[in-house]
Amino acid sequence: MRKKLGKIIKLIYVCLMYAFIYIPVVVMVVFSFNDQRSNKQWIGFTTKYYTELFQDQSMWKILSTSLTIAFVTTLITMVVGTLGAVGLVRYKFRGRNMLNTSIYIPLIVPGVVFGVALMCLVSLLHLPKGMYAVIGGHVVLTLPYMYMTVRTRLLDFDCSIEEASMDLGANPIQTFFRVTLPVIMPGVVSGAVLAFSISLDDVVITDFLAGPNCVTLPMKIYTSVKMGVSPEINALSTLIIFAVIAGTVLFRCLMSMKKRVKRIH
Amino acid sequence: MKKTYRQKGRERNPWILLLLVPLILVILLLVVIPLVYVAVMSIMTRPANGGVEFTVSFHGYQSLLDVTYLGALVNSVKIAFISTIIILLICYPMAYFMATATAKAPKKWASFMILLLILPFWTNGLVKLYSFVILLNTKGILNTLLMNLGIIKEPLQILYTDGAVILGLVYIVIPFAVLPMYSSIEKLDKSLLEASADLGASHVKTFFKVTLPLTSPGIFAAAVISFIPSLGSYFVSDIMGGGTTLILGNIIKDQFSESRNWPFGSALSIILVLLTIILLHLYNKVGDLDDLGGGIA
Repeated sequence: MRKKLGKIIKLIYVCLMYAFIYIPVVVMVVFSFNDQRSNKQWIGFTTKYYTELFQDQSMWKILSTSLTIAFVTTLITMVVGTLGAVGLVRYKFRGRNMLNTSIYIPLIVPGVVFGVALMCLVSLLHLPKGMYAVIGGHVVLTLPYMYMTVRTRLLDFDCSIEEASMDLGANPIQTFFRVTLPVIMPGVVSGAVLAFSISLDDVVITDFLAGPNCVTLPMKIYTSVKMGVSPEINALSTLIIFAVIAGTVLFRCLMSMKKRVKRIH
Repeated sequence: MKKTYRQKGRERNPWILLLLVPLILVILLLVVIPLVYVAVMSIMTRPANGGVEFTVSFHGYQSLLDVTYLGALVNSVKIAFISTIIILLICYPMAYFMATATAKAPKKWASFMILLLILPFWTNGLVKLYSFVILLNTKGILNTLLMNLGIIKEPLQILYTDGAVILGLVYIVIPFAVLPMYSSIEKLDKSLLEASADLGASHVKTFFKVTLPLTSPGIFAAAVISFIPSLGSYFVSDIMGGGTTLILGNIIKDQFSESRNWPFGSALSIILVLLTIILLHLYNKVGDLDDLGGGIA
């Protein structure tokens, strides 16, 4: 009897937590259909903000800016982080521990400090604020995550297969691309996904480095908050989250199909 | 036979150090040098029209003791502290229940639960905070509901208070707090719990004397992951607090926009960095830096 009560309490607690996490998302979706530009109270149902979204040129520009920054950031972070993780895991050299620890710095030090630091550096060197500066800032922000996910894979994978590969005549570069990389690929992919979403979502560093011409989605939302966040933005966010859900479901279906095909063979 | 890099030991091939060049460049240019620059600025002076002037002075650090700022700084630390405690209190049970629920169920459930936890964080954080504004403002959903039900006569002022800021700070960190604790609890050797029960300890005693100490790395990781951003996430206090509640991040940002007191802002930033380093150092004693990502990896 007591055990059952315990189980019920656990279930309720977990459900309440999930509810707490999801309530703002539900509100966000519902209010994308609200017939009020400042979106502070529910007035009535309309889909006009969805149509407005598709026709709004400035929104498309903002979305493309955000996506471009996210893509480039992810690409750079993937290369730098993966190579760096391989180098640091495999090879011993002085200052190794220090370098390893310093990679984690952006993970913990708040974005404000980096935003401030990079902004001041940029103005000292008379470099322009804008997309490139933002990309630089985002790379700093996302690098630790990429490094961590790849490193975790690297530490535990069976490196005797690399030795086997080289015994069979492959040079280190071939070994890397044909043996190492495929094995650590899940780490690289999850790091990339993480980097992409962090870049897309960042407001702190972007605030300091974007300047007047580079408007990203979070910046637009941030500046709209005082006047009320238009349902257009809710509509965009709703579409994004559904895209993510669809993507995840698709990915899982593909994975399980792959497994089924393998089993048949 | 399986060999891993953990066990194998390292090679000393200098060629491959080439792999590290991009990483070192990035760290140097984008992490080390900017932070050093901020440290340097913190001991410079603020010229009459703002910005920074390269004459050494410790006025930046002295301003920390200035009465006008001290109150706000103390309040900010208080808010961050309260947020962290709340996060630990609500997320540990969540992590625990998730770990125990998935222990017996098939593996699919575990990743599904985690996915469900993370999915909302694919939406832009600002939009979600704004959803809280819609929910909690004086003409918002919660107040309208409570008034219609007759529970209250006048709308509650929830937003634009310290409490609302704490709510926002707690909300944005939830998955980052749950995951390391979940990871820690999941790795717990269940046979230790059985042994404790066999030796006569009650569930409660087992929890406090076995489970909690053994999962402390995860708890500490969650605390570190929540505390520092609670000091710095100024957009939360802007949206939920309406600019009336200031957290450290706001004050720092302000020094670089309106107040134009770069040395003071830099001094604050350096204090924040030092605090972070101290916390990380303490964490290193309890757990592994690699685990800091918890379930992220």
